[in-house]
Amino acid sequence: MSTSPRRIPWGVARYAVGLTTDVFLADEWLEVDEMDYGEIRRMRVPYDEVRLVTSHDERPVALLILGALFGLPLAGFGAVVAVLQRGQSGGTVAGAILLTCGLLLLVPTAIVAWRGIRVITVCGERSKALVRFSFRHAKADAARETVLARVRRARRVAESRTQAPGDAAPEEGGPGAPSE
Amino acid sequence: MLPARKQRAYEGPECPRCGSTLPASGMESRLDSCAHCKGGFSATWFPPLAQPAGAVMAPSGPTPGASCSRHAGNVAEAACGRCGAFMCGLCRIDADGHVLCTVCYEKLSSEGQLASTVLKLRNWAGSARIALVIGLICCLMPIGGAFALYYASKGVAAKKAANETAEIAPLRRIQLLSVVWILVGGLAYAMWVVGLLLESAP
Repeated sequence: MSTSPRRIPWGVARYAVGLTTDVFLADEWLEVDEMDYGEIRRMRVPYDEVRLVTSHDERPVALLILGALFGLPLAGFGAVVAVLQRGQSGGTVAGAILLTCGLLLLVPTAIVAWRGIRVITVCGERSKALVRFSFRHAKADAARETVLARVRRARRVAESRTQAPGDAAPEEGGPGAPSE
Repeated sequence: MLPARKQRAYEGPECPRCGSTLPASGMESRLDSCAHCKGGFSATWFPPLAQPAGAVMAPSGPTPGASCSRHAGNVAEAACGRCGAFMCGLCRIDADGHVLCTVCYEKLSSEGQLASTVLKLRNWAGSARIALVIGLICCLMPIGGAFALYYASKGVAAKKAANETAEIAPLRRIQLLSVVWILVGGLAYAMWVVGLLLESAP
């Protein structure tokens, strides 16, 4: 019999080679694992402590410049070689390989430059979690909705615990409801 | 030495663009831009929850119910799952499916027996990747592969123990890669030895 996992991967925020932050959805909190070469530091953002969930698009300028710096010369040189050595099979193949390598760098760079990277940030009272979605904006929006649903559910449970038995829970959109 | 990641104390909701702390009045004004960097963002604010009532006070005089073992004035609402002591709402701690008193919680968490309280772990996958890269760079693929296989196996065991089964797949891939490292590196060394023998043969 297989047991359900304690947590499911939600997303990753990369800072540098080997320095990443993995975020997982657990039952009662978001779990943030900071990978630091040989060690994992774990933080948690409990759903009932969440104060702010944001979403915005950002363009990583350094990454775009690097992509363009390496991609454009490669693709350009490949195209020139392919055109100049058109008659010779070896030159055409070499040009095509260089052009392909350049395009492999340029196409993702162009997509990121055009659409941006969608960043979802969940701020709790004591900690925060951040996830970047490079190409999948629809998935980012769905992930945000998932977290918002979990936060609302956890808050309903917490509020029902704190309220006296006779009190009624606040309606959705009422004074106690989250504001967008 | 590798540079340490910049860390700043977290002081509450921050601007997702520049990281500056947003004002406490952001909730009321439904703030969706930062005064510091002028950047905008789509925001959903949640008001702070009301603090839960701590415990029900026990009525004075003889009562039919038990009182908390640490707070004689409070009604016991549960018994500790480990030591059996009666606890009020102030003392009760729910952790990893167990209902514990504060003393037992401190003891178990200090011994690392409560999975949810372990906040520093060994990065087995990272160690395995480093072993693979070092093995490749130093032309010691069988040794690097063997270390990586060991680290990845330890990682799989740790993930299984913590019931983090969704994260085993990357470690399995590292295990597979480690075997490839050992086989390819071993074959290369074997060919090198055979070549030496053939060259030295009369």
